[in-house]
Amino acid sequence: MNMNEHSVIVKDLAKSFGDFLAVDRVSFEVRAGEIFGLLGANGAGKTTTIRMLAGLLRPSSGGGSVGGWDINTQFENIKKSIGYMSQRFSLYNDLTVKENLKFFGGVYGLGRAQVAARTAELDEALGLAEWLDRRTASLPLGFKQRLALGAAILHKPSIVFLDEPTSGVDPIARRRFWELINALAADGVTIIVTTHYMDEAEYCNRLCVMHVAKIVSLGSPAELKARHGAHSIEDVFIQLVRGA
Amino acid sequence: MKGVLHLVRKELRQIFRDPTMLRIIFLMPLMQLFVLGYAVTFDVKNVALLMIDRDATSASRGLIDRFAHNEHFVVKRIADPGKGIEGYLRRGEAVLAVVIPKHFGRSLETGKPTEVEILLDGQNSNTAGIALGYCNRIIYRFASDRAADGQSRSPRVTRAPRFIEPETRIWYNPELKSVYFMIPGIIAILLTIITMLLTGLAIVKERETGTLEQLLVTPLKPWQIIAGKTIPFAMLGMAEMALATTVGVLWFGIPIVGNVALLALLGLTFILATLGLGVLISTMAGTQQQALFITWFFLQIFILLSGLFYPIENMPRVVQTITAINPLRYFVAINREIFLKGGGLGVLWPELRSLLVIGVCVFGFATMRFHKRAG
Amino acid sequence: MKGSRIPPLARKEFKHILRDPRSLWIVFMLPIVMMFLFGYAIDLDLKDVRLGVCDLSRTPQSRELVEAIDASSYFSVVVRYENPGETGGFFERRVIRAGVIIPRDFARALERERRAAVGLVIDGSDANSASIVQNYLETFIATRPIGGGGGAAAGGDAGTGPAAGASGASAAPLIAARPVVFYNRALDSTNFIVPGLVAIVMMMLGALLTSVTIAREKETGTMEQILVSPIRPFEVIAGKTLPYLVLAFSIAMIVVTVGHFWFKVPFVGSVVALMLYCLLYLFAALALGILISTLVSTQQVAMMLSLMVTLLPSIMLSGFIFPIASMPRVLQFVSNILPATHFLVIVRGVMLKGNVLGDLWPHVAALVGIGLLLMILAVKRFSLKLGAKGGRA
Repeated sequence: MNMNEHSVIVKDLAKSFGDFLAVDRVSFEVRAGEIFGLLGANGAGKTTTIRMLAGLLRPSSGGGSVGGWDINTQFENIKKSIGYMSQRFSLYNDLTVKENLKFFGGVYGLGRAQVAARTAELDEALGLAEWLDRRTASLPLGFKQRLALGAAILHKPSIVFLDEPTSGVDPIARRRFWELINALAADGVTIIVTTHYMDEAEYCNRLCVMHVAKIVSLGSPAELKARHGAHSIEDVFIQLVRGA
Repeated sequence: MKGVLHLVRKELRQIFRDPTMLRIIFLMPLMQLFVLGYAVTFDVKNVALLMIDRDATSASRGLIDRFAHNEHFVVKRIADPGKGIEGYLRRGEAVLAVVIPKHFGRSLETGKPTEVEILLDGQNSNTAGIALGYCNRIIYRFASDRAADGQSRSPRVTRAPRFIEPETRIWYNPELKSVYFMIPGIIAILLTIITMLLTGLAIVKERETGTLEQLLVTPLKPWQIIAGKTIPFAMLGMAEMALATTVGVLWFGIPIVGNVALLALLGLTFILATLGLGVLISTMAGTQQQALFITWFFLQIFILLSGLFYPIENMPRVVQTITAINPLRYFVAINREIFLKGGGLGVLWPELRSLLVIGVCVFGFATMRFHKRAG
Repeated sequence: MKGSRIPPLARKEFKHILRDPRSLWIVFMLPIVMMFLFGYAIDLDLKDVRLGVCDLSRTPQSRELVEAIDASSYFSVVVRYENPGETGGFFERRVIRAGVIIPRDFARALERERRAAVGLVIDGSDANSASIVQNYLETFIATRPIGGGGGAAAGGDAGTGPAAGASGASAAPLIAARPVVFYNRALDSTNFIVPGLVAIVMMMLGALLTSVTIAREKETGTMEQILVSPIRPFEVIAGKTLPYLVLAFSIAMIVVTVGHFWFKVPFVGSVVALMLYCLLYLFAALALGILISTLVSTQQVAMMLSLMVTLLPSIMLSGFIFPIASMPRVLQFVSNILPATHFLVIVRGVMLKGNVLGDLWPHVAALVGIGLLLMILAVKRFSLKLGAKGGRA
């Protein structure tokens, strides 16, 4: 796959649950190595969009591709090249950090040696070394979050989906987390992240603002601020939401 | 394949990490086995029986004696309360009351037919019927013995009817110990609880905590996830079965006349069916509580229609047809055959076939419902 | 009473219950289905028991016996064979349940000595049915006078077995046994089971559900949320259990109603009294549920523990199906400390016998005692656990 091409393409993606339209014809494209944000209030449709891209939900209409694989017909193939971190940090609470990592590594097809090597790398990068043998349930929230990220990138996916990865985490931990994200992106990993923290939007290369199932604006933080004559993304957001 | 291995290892780790759960999986069923082994019986013993003697002759005392020496009854002689006998039954002081009428002895002497009244508390229809049967036999035996002894003076009696004495031999379980039959059945029930309930619960729990979603995002295929969840419980189930069977043989002295390896094999096919059901139920339940209820619902029906407590032949055709899809029914029959009668594959082939069919169908259906991609 | 904090808790719990239609549906259907099964499908009286007959005598007398057996609704002669040695084979192939072997000298013995032996071989592998088969067969044969005019009717009232003693005919027995059945005239098994179902249902809803619900809150951490508020332990308990009390009671009443009006289970005693007894029993069941919830940390364990400790014993040891008098002493003792055992006597007593408090007071007292004991233990442990958690994390 050409590094300059788009690694994620979304075209008129839509999803309704019965009468409720959760995602309304959303379209965007993400380049390899980009950090792309979906910004919006709770219920705007961000998580639903991500889940369709990760192959967890079938789109009602529209389509796209992730890593070159078609969302509608090749969703199983997508799974091999992506990492996913859910809002709930879905980890096994009764397993230790090391066991969680070993498990997910194994599930993604990494051999013992590979898992060990990757775990060592991640421990360094994520600062999990001292927590390795602790039960996940006893981890402070910030470390749980890092463990969840670690589990998601163990197999070195080229695209990573992060769904509200910093919910409930203190500002220092949040900042540190974004440092990790940036490091990943610098390595060429495409990152698609959803958030409702306005300040985090600034860290994205580009972002789209979602409101009531639609994308109401799309561009880099600078572009958005210029377009809407605002000083902060928060102002952009308020304008868009009020105006809509 | 490696994916399944990882899943199994993780599951086992989780199970063994919870000491209470372990205790429940291994200790409690054993306890249940001991308790139920002795409690579960349709034998009728120690039935409280009142004898009311309105005659007070040697004849009536003779009859009372017969009852008193019978192992099924605990006899209490009381003074004649007249109409108040029913009160004893109502207050639960006795289940039966036998009333020997006045002139009982004289009637026997003169060969005149007489009547003994048996009042019984019919609440427990089963026990009442059996107890009544015993009473009938005792009375009949008494009558025929007296006739044979020729203790009467009247010529009418010598033309006594002729009586047939049944001499009974019982095969495979000479003392008709319920235990021999019940224990294997109870083992089957405990096995079903472990494999059906725990599997379903485990899957639903992952769905509730969100870790199932994390698994769905990986390249793991549905069959791998299902296998990863069921194999650990299959292993536990077999271990449990081995343990319980050992207890049954060593403690309760149940004979195993048949082939143990065959029992293990058939046990495996049974587990296949129950695990499949567990997975199927997990696709129907949104919460662990629902999974519990749905499983319990099926379990109750399975147990009642398994032939363990109530004979299937007696059931209406429609119901009998329903039992055809009850895996417990086949396993109970299998247990009975292998433990007591020593039947081999030749006899048990129909059961094996049915279990395989059920297992494959259920698993297939469950896997179909187990979408990695929702809606 | 400062119960002002209980209503919101109870209301929340109610909403939980109502929003889970699947569970509700099952909780309602299970006893109904069981009633139908016991009412229509399950029958302990044997009918058309498959017999094999090996008549080595081949005389009019032996033939008379065989025909009488075949004519009876209890038995069905499916195979007649010549060689007694074949019986085992028939057992193995599950063709017959028992074999009747009439010896060669049958008729002669009858004439000369007035009594003849007949061999019965019974397949004992299904001990339950085998003993019933044995009972029926032996009674039928032993109480059947042979010869002297047509056979007496095979007789026996419904469910009382094939004793020939009930009806008189030319060969009238010397001593007739006349049964008079009280409280369940037709010896209908439904009448026995339905009251029992009430007990089972309430134990299930009262103990099982309660323990699972509390455990769930522990698991999801919402219990902490409640603990941070100024609520007192007994208020937490009351709020959580009240809805289940209402639910269990309602379903129990439905069971009784359906049982009485559809299945014709008699209801001789006082309805109000029964309701009060139900509440008493529920009290004990709820206490048990709460107690169990203090012993576990996850739902799974709560479920398994409740199943093993409340539901299974209540079904097996309480006299619901299996007679307590036939159990060994130790188990009889255990049975006596189960709330279900006492409640069963009470509910059957009220429905079938028309018992009043005067008849039932020992059991009522036992229920009260057990309930209070359980509740005290439960509240104590619950407060302990709350105290251990509350305040410092």
